[in-house]
Amino acid sequence: MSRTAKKIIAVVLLLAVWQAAAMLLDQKVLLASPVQVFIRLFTLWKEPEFVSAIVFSLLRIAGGFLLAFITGNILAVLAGKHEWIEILLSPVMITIKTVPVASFIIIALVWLSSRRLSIFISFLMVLPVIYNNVLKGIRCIDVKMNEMAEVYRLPWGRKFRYIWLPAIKPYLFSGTSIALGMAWKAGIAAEVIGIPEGSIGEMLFNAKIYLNTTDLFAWTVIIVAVSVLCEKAVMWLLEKAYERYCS
Amino acid sequence: MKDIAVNGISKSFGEKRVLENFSAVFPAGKTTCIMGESGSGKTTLLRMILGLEHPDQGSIEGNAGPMSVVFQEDRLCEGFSSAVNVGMVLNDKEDKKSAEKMLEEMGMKDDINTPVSQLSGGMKRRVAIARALVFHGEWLIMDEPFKGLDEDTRAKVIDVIKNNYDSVIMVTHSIDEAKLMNAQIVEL
Repeated sequence: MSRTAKKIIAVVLLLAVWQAAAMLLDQKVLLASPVQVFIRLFTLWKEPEFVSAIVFSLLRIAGGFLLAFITGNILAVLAGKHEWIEILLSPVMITIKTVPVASFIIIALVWLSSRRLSIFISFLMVLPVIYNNVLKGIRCIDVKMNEMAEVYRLPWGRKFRYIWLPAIKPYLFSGTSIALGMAWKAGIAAEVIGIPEGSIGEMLFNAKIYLNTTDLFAWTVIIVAVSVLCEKAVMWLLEKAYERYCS
Repeated sequence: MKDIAVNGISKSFGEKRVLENFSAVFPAGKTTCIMGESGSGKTTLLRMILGLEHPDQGSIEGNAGPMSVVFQEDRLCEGFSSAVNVGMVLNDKEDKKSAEKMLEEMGMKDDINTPVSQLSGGMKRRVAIARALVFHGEWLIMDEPFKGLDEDTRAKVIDVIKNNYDSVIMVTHSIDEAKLMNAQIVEL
Protein backbone atom coordinates (compact mmCIF):
# COMPACT_ATOMS: atom_id res chain seq x y z
CA MET A 1 0.00 0.00 0.00
CA SER A 2 1.38 3.43 -0.93
CA ARG A 3 2.18 6.05 1.68
CA THR A 4 -0.55 8.34 0.31
CA ALA A 5 -3.15 5.57 0.66
CA LYS A 6 -2.06 4.99 4.27
CA LYS A 7 -2.36 8.73 4.98
CA ILE A 8 -5.88 8.80 3.49
CA ILE A 9 -6.88 5.84 5.69
CA ALA A 10 -5.51 7.67 8.77
CA VAL A 11 -7.60 10.78 7.92
CA VAL A 12 -10.74 8.68 7.32
CA LEU A 13 -10.16 6.89 10.64
CA LEU A 14 -9.82 10.22 12.47
CA LEU A 15 -13.04 11.51 10.87
CA ALA A 16 -14.83 8.28 11.85
CA VAL A 17 -13.73 8.62 15.48
CA TRP A 18 -14.77 12.30 15.46
CA GLN A 19 -18.19 11.43 13.96
CA ALA A 20 -18.73 8.60 16.49
CA ALA A 21 -17.80 10.90 19.43
CA ALA A 22 -20.16 13.63 18.18
CA MET A 23 -22.98 11.11 17.79
CA LEU A 24 -22.38 9.72 21.29
CA LEU A 25 -22.35 13.20 22.86
CA ASP A 26 -25.24 14.37 20.72
CA GLN A 27 -24.61 17.99 21.79
CA LYS A 28 -23.83 20.28 18.84
CA VAL A 29 -22.63 23.00 21.22
CA LEU A 30 -19.99 20.72 22.73
CA LEU A 31 -18.87 18.87 19.63
CA ALA A 32 -20.09 19.42 16.08
CA SER A 33 -19.84 16.36 13.87
CA PRO A 34 -17.72 16.30 10.68
CA VAL A 35 -20.90 16.02 8.62
CA GLN A 36 -22.32 19.18 10.23
CA VAL A 37 -19.01 20.97 9.70
CA PHE A 38 -18.92 19.88 6.06
CA ILE A 39 -22.48 21.14 5.49
CA ARG A 40 -21.57 24.45 7.16
CA LEU A 41 -18.46 24.78 5.00
CA PHE A 42 -20.65 24.33 1.95
CA THR A 43 -22.79 27.32 2.93
CA LEU A 44 -19.96 29.36 4.43
CA TRP A 45 -18.06 29.89 1.20
CA LYS A 46 -21.08 31.65 -0.31
CA GLU A 47 -21.11 34.27 2.46
CA PRO A 48 -19.61 37.67 1.51
CA GLU A 49 -17.05 37.75 4.33
CA PHE A 50 -15.67 34.29 3.55
CA VAL A 51 -13.10 35.28 0.92
CA SER A 52 -12.35 38.70 2.42
CA ALA A 53 -11.64 37.19 5.86
CA ILE A 54 -9.26 34.64 4.36
CA VAL A 55 -7.51 37.30 2.27
CA PHE A 56 -7.27 39.64 5.27
CA SER A 57 -5.59 37.04 7.49
CA LEU A 58 -3.54 35.44 4.72
CA LEU A 59 -1.98 38.74 3.60
CA ARG A 60 -1.02 39.72 7.13
CA ILE A 61 0.28 36.35 8.29
CA ALA A 62 2.12 35.72 5.01
CA GLY A 63 3.54 39.25 5.18
CA GLY A 64 4.82 38.70 8.72
CA PHE A 65 6.26 35.34 7.69
CA LEU A 66 8.02 36.77 4.63
CA LEU A 67 9.54 39.65 6.60
CA ALA A 68 10.79 37.25 9.28
CA PHE A 69 12.07 34.78 6.66
CA ILE A 70 14.17 37.49 4.98
CA THR A 71 15.32 39.07 8.25
CA GLY A 72 16.08 35.70 9.87
CA ASN A 73 18.20 34.60 6.91
CA ILE A 74 20.12 37.88 6.72
CA LEU A 75 20.77 37.92 10.48
CA ALA A 76 21.85 34.25 10.47
CA VAL A 77 24.31 34.86 7.61
CA LEU A 78 25.72 37.91 9.42
CA ALA A 79 25.95 35.96 12.69
CA GLY A 80 27.62 33.11 10.81
CA LYS A 81 30.25 35.52 9.49
CA HIS A 82 30.76 37.58 12.64
CA GLU A 83 30.58 35.90 16.04
CA TRP A 84 29.93 39.21 17.82
CA ILE A 85 26.62 39.55 15.96
CA GLU A 86 25.59 36.08 17.17
CA ILE A 87 26.47 37.05 20.76
CA LEU A 88 24.62 40.35 20.40
CA LEU A 89 21.48 38.65 19.03
CA SER A 90 21.53 35.71 21.43
CA PRO A 91 19.53 37.36 24.30
CA VAL A 92 17.05 38.85 21.81
CA MET A 93 16.35 35.47 20.20
CA ILE A 94 16.11 33.66 23.56
CA THR A 95 13.65 36.29 24.81
CA ILE A 96 11.45 36.02 21.71
CA LYS A 97 11.53 32.22 21.97
CA THR A 98 10.63 31.96 25.64
CA VAL A 99 8.16 34.82 26.26
CA PRO A 100 4.58 33.51 25.89
CA VAL A 101 2.93 34.58 22.66
CA ALA A 102 -0.05 35.97 24.63
CA SER A 103 2.28 38.43 26.40
CA PHE A 104 3.59 39.68 23.06
CA ILE A 105 0.05 40.00 21.72
CA ILE A 106 -1.07 42.11 24.66
CA ILE A 107 2.05 44.30 24.55
CA ALA A 108 1.70 44.71 20.77
CA LEU A 109 -1.93 45.75 21.17
CA VAL A 110 -0.70 48.74 23.15
CA TRP A 111 1.70 49.73 20.36
CA LEU A 112 -0.14 48.78 17.20
CA SER A 113 -3.63 48.80 15.73
CA SER A 114 -5.30 45.39 15.87
CA ARG A 115 -5.28 45.30 12.04
CA ARG A 116 -1.46 45.09 12.05
CA LEU A 117 -1.20 42.80 15.04
CA SER A 118 -1.00 39.48 13.17
CA ILE A 119 1.84 40.75 10.93
CA PHE A 120 3.91 41.61 13.98
CA ILE A 121 3.10 38.43 15.91
CA SER A 122 3.77 36.04 13.02
CA PHE A 123 7.02 37.94 12.34
CA LEU A 124 8.04 37.49 15.96
CA MET A 125 7.25 33.77 16.05
CA VAL A 126 8.98 32.98 12.75
CA LEU A 127 12.14 35.06 13.22
CA PRO A 128 13.96 32.92 15.86
CA VAL A 129 13.01 29.65 14.13
CA ILE A 130 14.49 30.71 10.78
CA TYR A 131 17.47 32.43 12.42
CA ASN A 132 18.38 29.47 14.64
CA ASN A 133 17.94 26.85 11.91
CA VAL A 134 19.96 28.72 9.29
CA LEU A 135 22.69 29.55 11.79
CA LYS A 136 22.87 25.88 12.81
CA GLY A 137 23.31 24.98 9.13
CA ILE A 138 26.09 27.55 8.74
CA ARG A 139 27.84 26.18 11.84
CA CYS A 140 27.72 22.68 10.30
CA ILE A 141 29.57 23.72 7.12
CA ASP A 142 32.56 21.45 6.59
CA VAL A 143 35.76 23.24 7.63
CA LYS A 144 37.53 21.50 4.74
CA MET A 145 35.26 23.21 2.21
CA ASN A 146 35.98 26.58 3.82
CA GLU A 147 39.70 25.82 3.50
CA MET A 148 39.21 25.00 -0.18
CA ALA A 149 37.44 28.36 -0.64
CA GLU A 150 40.24 30.13 1.21
CA VAL A 151 43.04 28.52 -0.83
CA TYR A 152 41.29 29.25 -4.12
CA ARG A 153 40.45 32.77 -2.93
CA LEU A 154 36.77 32.36 -3.79
CA PRO A 155 34.87 35.65 -3.55
CA TRP A 156 32.18 35.78 -0.85
CA GLY A 157 29.30 35.45 -3.35
CA ARG A 158 30.64 32.20 -4.79
CA LYS A 159 31.45 30.80 -1.39
CA PHE A 160 27.87 31.58 -0.32
CA ARG A 161 26.31 30.03 -3.42
CA TYR A 162 28.47 26.93 -3.78
CA ILE A 163 29.26 26.06 -0.15
CA TRP A 164 26.91 27.84 2.26
CA LEU A 165 23.58 27.51 0.42
CA PRO A 166 23.79 23.71 -0.11
CA ALA A 167 24.94 23.22 3.49
CA ILE A 168 22.06 25.17 5.04
CA LYS A 169 19.39 23.63 2.78
CA PRO A 170 18.11 20.88 5.15
CA TYR A 171 18.09 23.31 8.08
CA LEU A 172 16.34 26.05 6.09
CA PHE A 173 13.68 23.65 4.79
CA SER A 174 12.89 22.15 8.17
CA GLY A 175 12.88 25.59 9.82
CA THR A 176 10.59 27.02 7.14
CA SER A 177 8.12 24.17 7.48
CA ILE A 178 7.95 24.55 11.29
CA ALA A 179 7.83 28.35 11.10
CA LEU A 180 4.91 28.38 8.64
CA GLY A 181 2.75 26.37 11.04
CA MET A 182 3.76 28.65 13.90
CA ALA A 183 2.99 31.78 11.87
CA TRP A 184 -0.60 30.64 11.33
CA LYS A 185 -1.15 29.48 14.91
CA ALA A 186 0.26 32.66 16.45
CA GLY A 187 -1.26 34.97 13.80
CA ILE A 188 -4.77 33.63 14.31
CA ALA A 189 -4.35 33.68 18.11
CA ALA A 190 -3.40 37.36 17.80
CA GLU A 191 -6.52 38.03 15.72
CA VAL A 192 -8.77 36.25 18.25
CA ILE A 193 -7.39 38.47 21.03
CA GLY A 194 -7.16 41.71 19.00
CA ILE A 195 -10.37 41.05 16.99
CA PRO A 196 -9.50 43.09 13.87
CA GLU A 197 -12.62 43.61 11.80
CA GLY A 198 -13.02 41.22 8.88
CA SER A 199 -10.37 38.70 9.93
CA ILE A 200 -10.59 34.94 10.44
CA GLY A 201 -9.80 35.63 14.10
CA GLU A 202 -12.97 37.75 14.35
CA MET A 203 -14.99 34.88 12.84
CA LEU A 204 -13.57 32.50 15.45
CA PHE A 205 -14.26 35.02 18.22
CA ASN A 206 -17.88 35.44 17.09
CA ALA A 207 -18.31 31.67 16.92
CA LYS A 208 -17.13 31.47 20.52
CA ILE A 209 -19.40 34.34 21.71
CA TYR A 210 -22.49 32.78 20.10
CA LEU A 211 -21.47 29.24 21.14
CA ASN A 212 -21.55 28.33 17.45
CA THR A 213 -19.29 25.27 17.59
CA THR A 214 -20.06 24.28 14.00
CA ASP A 215 -18.75 27.64 12.75
CA LEU A 216 -15.73 27.33 15.03
CA PHE A 217 -14.88 23.94 13.55
CA ALA A 218 -15.61 25.10 10.00
CA TRP A 219 -13.26 28.10 10.30
CA THR A 220 -10.64 25.87 11.93
CA VAL A 221 -10.83 23.52 8.95
CA ILE A 222 -10.37 26.53 6.65
CA ILE A 223 -7.33 27.72 8.65
CA VAL A 224 -5.77 24.26 8.45
CA ALA A 225 -6.45 24.04 4.70
CA VAL A 226 -5.01 27.52 3.94
CA SER A 227 -2.03 26.87 6.20
CA VAL A 228 -1.26 23.54 4.46
CA LEU A 229 -1.63 25.16 1.02
CA CYS A 230 0.72 27.97 2.07
CA GLU A 231 3.27 25.47 3.31
CA LYS A 232 3.12 23.46 0.08
CA ALA A 233 3.47 26.63 -2.02
CA VAL A 234 6.40 28.03 -0.02
CA MET A 235 8.24 24.69 0.06
CA TRP A 236 7.72 24.30 -3.70
CA LEU A 237 9.07 27.79 -4.34
CA LEU A 238 12.09 27.13 -2.11
CA GLU A 239 12.79 23.85 -3.89
CA LYS A 240 12.58 25.58 -7.28
CA ALA A 241 14.88 28.37 -6.10
CA TYR A 242 17.41 25.78 -4.94
CA GLU A 243 17.14 23.86 -8.23
CA ARG A 244 17.88 27.08 -10.08
CA TYR A 245 20.75 28.44 -8.01
CA CYS A 246 22.27 25.34 -6.43
CA SER A 247 22.67 22.81 -9.18
CA MET B 1 59.21 32.90 -9.12
CA LYS B 2 61.02 32.07 -5.86
CA ASP B 3 61.85 28.66 -4.44
CA ILE B 4 59.92 27.64 -1.36
CA ALA B 5 62.29 27.39 1.58
CA VAL B 6 61.29 25.57 4.74
CA ASN B 7 63.58 26.63 7.57
CA GLY B 8 63.78 24.47 10.70
CA ILE B 9 60.05 24.10 11.29
CA SER B 10 58.52 22.17 14.18
CA LYS B 11 54.86 21.39 14.71
CA SER B 12 52.97 19.62 17.49
CA PHE B 13 49.28 18.81 17.93
CA GLY B 14 48.78 18.60 21.68
CA GLU B 15 51.34 16.14 23.03
CA LYS B 16 52.08 14.71 19.59
CA ARG B 17 55.15 16.08 17.80
CA VAL B 18 54.51 15.83 14.06
CA LEU B 19 57.52 17.69 12.66
CA GLU B 20 60.78 18.52 14.37
CA ASN B 21 63.32 21.03 13.08
CA PHE B 22 62.60 20.15 9.44
CA SER B 23 64.28 22.05 6.63
CA ALA B 24 64.05 21.68 2.85
CA VAL B 25 64.08 23.71 -0.34
CA PHE B 26 61.45 23.16 -3.03
CA PRO B 27 62.92 24.58 -6.23
CA ALA B 28 60.69 26.59 -8.54
CA GLY B 29 60.26 25.07 -11.98
CA LYS B 30 60.72 21.54 -10.65
CA THR B 31 58.57 18.78 -9.18
CA THR B 32 59.33 17.62 -5.66
CA CYS B 33 57.73 14.57 -4.06
CA ILE B 34 57.47 14.37 -0.29
CA MET B 35 57.62 10.75 0.81
CA GLY B 36 57.50 9.11 4.20
CA GLU B 37 55.58 6.80 6.49
CA SER B 38 51.99 7.48 7.48
CA GLY B 39 51.88 10.02 10.29
CA SER B 40 55.32 11.44 9.47
CA GLY B 41 53.86 14.92 8.89
CA LYS B 42 53.63 15.07 5.08
CA THR B 43 50.13 16.52 4.97
CA THR B 44 50.93 18.88 7.87
CA LEU B 45 53.92 20.17 5.92
CA LEU B 46 51.74 20.81 2.85
CA ARG B 47 49.15 22.56 5.00
CA MET B 48 51.84 24.81 6.42
CA ILE B 49 53.12 25.63 2.93
CA LEU B 50 49.51 26.53 2.03
CA GLY B 51 49.19 28.72 5.13
CA LEU B 52 46.39 26.57 6.60
CA GLU B 53 48.58 25.68 9.62
CA HIS B 54 51.35 27.67 11.24
CA PRO B 55 54.63 26.18 12.47
CA ASP B 56 55.35 26.33 16.20
CA GLN B 57 58.96 27.12 15.35
CA GLY B 58 60.82 27.99 12.17
CA SER B 59 59.58 29.70 9.03
CA ILE B 60 58.51 29.13 5.44
CA GLU B 61 59.50 31.53 2.67
CA GLY B 62 58.36 31.90 -0.93
CA ASN B 63 54.79 30.67 -0.36
CA ALA B 64 52.93 34.00 -0.38
CA GLY B 65 51.41 33.75 -3.89
CA PRO B 66 48.26 31.92 -4.94
CA MET B 67 48.50 28.12 -4.88
CA SER B 68 46.64 25.48 -6.86
CA VAL B 69 45.76 22.58 -4.61
CA VAL B 70 44.63 18.99 -4.88
CA PHE B 71 43.70 18.06 -1.33
CA GLN B 72 43.83 14.54 0.06
CA GLU B 73 40.01 14.57 -0.14
CA ASP B 74 38.27 15.84 -3.28
CA ARG B 75 36.54 18.78 -1.52
CA LEU B 76 34.04 19.26 -4.35
CA CYS B 77 30.63 20.90 -4.24
CA GLU B 78 28.59 17.72 -4.69
CA GLY B 79 25.34 19.21 -5.98
CA PHE B 80 27.02 21.06 -8.85
CA SER B 81 28.32 19.81 -12.18
CA SER B 82 31.96 19.04 -12.98
CA ALA B 83 32.15 22.20 -15.12
CA VAL B 84 30.81 24.39 -12.29
CA ASN B 85 33.24 22.84 -9.80
CA VAL B 86 36.19 23.52 -12.06
CA GLY B 87 34.91 26.92 -13.27
CA MET B 88 34.20 28.29 -9.79
CA VAL B 89 37.89 29.08 -9.24
CA LEU B 90 38.03 31.12 -12.45
CA ASN B 91 37.07 34.73 -12.93
CA ASP B 92 35.06 35.50 -16.04
CA LYS B 93 32.83 33.76 -18.54
CA GLU B 94 35.64 33.48 -21.06
CA ASP B 95 37.41 31.22 -18.64
CA LYS B 96 34.43 28.87 -18.39
CA LYS B 97 35.55 27.42 -21.70
CA SER B 98 38.96 26.65 -20.27
CA ALA B 99 37.24 24.69 -17.46
CA GLU B 100 35.41 22.57 -20.03
CA LYS B 101 38.58 22.15 -22.10
CA MET B 102 40.51 20.97 -19.04
CA LEU B 103 37.80 18.42 -18.21
CA GLU B 104 37.98 17.17 -21.80
CA GLU B 105 41.75 16.79 -21.47
CA MET B 106 41.10 14.77 -18.31
CA GLY B 107 38.94 12.39 -20.35
CA MET B 108 35.68 13.66 -18.89
CA LYS B 109 34.06 15.07 -22.02
CA ASP B 110 30.80 13.15 -21.46
CA ASP B 111 30.51 14.20 -17.82
CA ILE B 112 31.09 17.93 -18.04
CA ASN B 113 27.51 18.67 -17.00
CA THR B 114 27.04 15.69 -14.69
CA PRO B 115 26.51 16.56 -11.01
CA VAL B 116 29.61 15.55 -9.09
CA SER B 117 27.47 13.50 -6.68
CA GLN B 118 26.77 11.10 -9.58
CA LEU B 119 30.45 10.55 -10.49
CA SER B 120 32.66 7.64 -9.46
CA GLY B 121 35.57 8.15 -7.02
CA GLY B 122 38.13 8.25 -9.84
CA MET B 123 36.11 10.78 -11.82
CA LYS B 124 35.72 13.04 -8.79
CA ARG B 125 39.48 12.90 -8.35
CA ARG B 126 39.98 14.06 -11.93
CA VAL B 127 37.56 16.95 -11.38
CA ALA B 128 39.55 17.98 -8.28
CA ILE B 129 42.78 17.85 -10.30
CA ALA B 130 41.19 19.77 -13.21
CA ARG B 131 40.08 22.48 -10.77
CA ALA B 132 43.64 22.85 -9.53
CA LEU B 133 45.07 22.96 -13.04
CA VAL B 134 42.82 25.75 -14.35
CA PHE B 135 43.51 27.96 -11.32
CA HIS B 136 46.33 30.37 -11.94
CA GLY B 137 48.43 29.42 -8.92
CA GLU B 138 52.18 29.89 -8.82
CA TRP B 139 52.63 26.38 -7.46
CA LEU B 140 50.67 23.15 -7.75
CA ILE B 141 50.43 21.44 -4.37
CA MET B 142 49.03 17.89 -4.37
CA ASP B 143 48.36 15.46 -1.53
CA GLU B 144 48.14 11.87 -2.82
CA PRO B 145 46.44 13.09 -6.02
CA PHE B 146 46.21 9.81 -7.92
CA LYS B 147 44.28 7.85 -5.29
CA GLY B 148 41.54 5.85 -7.01
CA LEU B 149 42.87 6.28 -10.58
CA ASP B 150 43.73 3.26 -12.73
CA GLU B 151 47.20 3.14 -14.36
CA ASP B 152 46.12 4.37 -17.80
CA THR B 153 44.12 7.28 -16.42
CA ARG B 154 46.94 8.14 -14.04
CA ALA B 155 49.44 8.29 -16.93
CA LYS B 156 47.09 10.51 -18.93
CA VAL B 157 46.48 12.82 -15.95
CA ILE B 158 50.22 13.08 -15.24
CA ASP B 159 50.78 14.19 -18.85
CA VAL B 160 48.17 16.91 -18.46
CA ILE B 161 49.72 18.05 -15.17
CA LYS B 162 53.20 18.22 -16.72
CA ASN B 163 51.86 20.28 -19.63
CA ASN B 164 50.29 22.80 -17.27
CA TYR B 165 52.59 23.12 -14.26
CA ASP B 166 56.31 22.94 -13.72
CA SER B 167 56.50 24.02 -10.06
CA VAL B 168 54.92 21.14 -8.18
CA ILE B 169 55.04 19.77 -4.65
CA MET B 170 53.36 16.40 -4.23
CA VAL B 171 52.85 13.98 -1.37
CA THR B 172 52.88 10.35 -2.43
CA HIS B 173 53.57 6.86 -1.08
CA SER B 174 54.43 5.56 -4.57
CA ILE B 175 57.94 5.70 -5.99
CA ASP B 176 56.40 4.96 -9.43
CA GLU B 177 54.37 8.17 -9.24
CA ALA B 178 57.50 10.12 -8.28
CA LYS B 179 59.32 8.66 -11.29
CA LEU B 180 56.43 9.37 -13.65
CA MET B 181 56.43 12.98 -12.46
CA ASN B 182 60.24 13.21 -12.95
CA ALA B 183 60.40 14.42 -9.38
CA GLN B 184 63.15 14.94 -6.88
CA ILE B 185 62.34 13.28 -3.57
CA VAL B 186 62.29 14.74 -0.07
CA GLU B 187 62.08 12.11 2.70
CA LEU B 188 60.27 12.87 5.93
